[in-house]
Amino acid sequence: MIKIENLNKKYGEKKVFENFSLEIEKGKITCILGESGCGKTTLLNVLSRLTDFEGRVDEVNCSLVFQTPNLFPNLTAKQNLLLVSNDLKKIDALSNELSVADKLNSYPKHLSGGEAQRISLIRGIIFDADLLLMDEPFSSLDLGVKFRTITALKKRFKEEKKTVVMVTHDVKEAVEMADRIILLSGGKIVYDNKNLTKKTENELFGLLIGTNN
Amino acid sequence: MKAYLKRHFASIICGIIALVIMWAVWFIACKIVKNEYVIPSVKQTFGELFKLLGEAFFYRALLRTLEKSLIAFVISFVLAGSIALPSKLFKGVDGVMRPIIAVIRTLPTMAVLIPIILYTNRFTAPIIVAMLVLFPMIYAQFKSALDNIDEQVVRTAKVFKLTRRQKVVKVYFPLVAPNLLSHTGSNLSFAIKVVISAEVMVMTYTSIGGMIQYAGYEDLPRLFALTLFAVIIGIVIETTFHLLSKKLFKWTRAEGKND
Repeated sequence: MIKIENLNKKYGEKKVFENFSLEIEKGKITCILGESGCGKTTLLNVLSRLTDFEGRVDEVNCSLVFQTPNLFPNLTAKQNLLLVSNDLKKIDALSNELSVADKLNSYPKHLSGGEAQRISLIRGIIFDADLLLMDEPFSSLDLGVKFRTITALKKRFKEEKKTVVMVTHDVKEAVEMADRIILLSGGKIVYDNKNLTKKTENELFGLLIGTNN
Repeated sequence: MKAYLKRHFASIICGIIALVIMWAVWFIACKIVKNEYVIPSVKQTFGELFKLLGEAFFYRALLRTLEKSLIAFVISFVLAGSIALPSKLFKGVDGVMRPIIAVIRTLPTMAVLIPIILYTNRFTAPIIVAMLVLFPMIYAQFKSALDNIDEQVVRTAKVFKLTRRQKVVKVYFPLVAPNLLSHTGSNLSFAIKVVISAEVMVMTYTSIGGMIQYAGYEDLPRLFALTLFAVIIGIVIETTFHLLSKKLFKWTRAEGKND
């Protein structure tokens, strides 16, 4: 388990988390849903030590897939990947799975948003880390590409027993991807489901409409 | 060639218009003043310029001036880069450098020229004067280029635990290089201008500044021709480096996107 205990985090006077606790199960995909400003991205920043906080958070070697690709613009896609891992076999396999194999010699400026984001996903996956954090990783992918990507990644994460925490505001993405779905509101967990069923999507829509009122 | 002309048609037309305006201003000034000893005509100046281009001494003088300018620029560039990077990485260095740069920048350079000549010579003095002007400028350009590196790039480098060497060699330096190369042209052009001014003051014989000093008030067509040549060479250098920075860094060019 990766533990977060009594997390306190505020930006100026605004409290994002107050005595927040969470346990993340290793080898599982946990999706965190919630409205804007509920603390989803802050949680990822805390786990990856990109922000300061109070409380106890297990120190874990993290990899991060940002909401925007954040590729180094002066390096080709392949050079961006090789900067974080020398595993050429895995790079080739993933780039074929995500249909970007023919874009590896392109610079980020010459890639579409979707292609760049897929390269960023590959970078996050190939970096040797105990925890993969993904912040709305599919938001810039069009619908067809998105669900093909989710299918490919879910299969790979299951095979590798990868520990993943994914933040999204898209219920369908969460239901497709996750083993466990947590709904955050006002820095608190209002829903936590490890046994997802066909009804989960409707439950979540209902709750999200409720938390937005 | 055709494609190039098509792409840059507007810029070429604007350039031609600018040249016509400058020629017109010069022509009108000559007509108003009506004294070739005060303002030589365009024809006289160009005539004198072509005469200069046939003189061996002119080329020796030009080489000496360019040599001094290049030395001043290279030393300033290396020094500025060596200090700007630690300034970016360590706040203490930046704190120490800021007042020093402020002093150097505000120093009246021509006023320090006399003590500089006393302790050096007519070759070195213009180099030092040019460095006093260039170093703060190039340092500021380095700092600006480093400060403008996208914060997301810095975060990404942190997340993926890039070593300091990887950050500097593979990310920071390549990201600032196009900007710096583009500035190099204007910096070199400025170095030539400052060196020539210093050469005039210290009366360095085999130099463009020395030739300007010698032409003085008695040979205005030659003075104008030398000035015109300095302007042309400055523009050529600036344009060359600007084009070079576009050519060398393919990743900055937005080609047709895929999808």
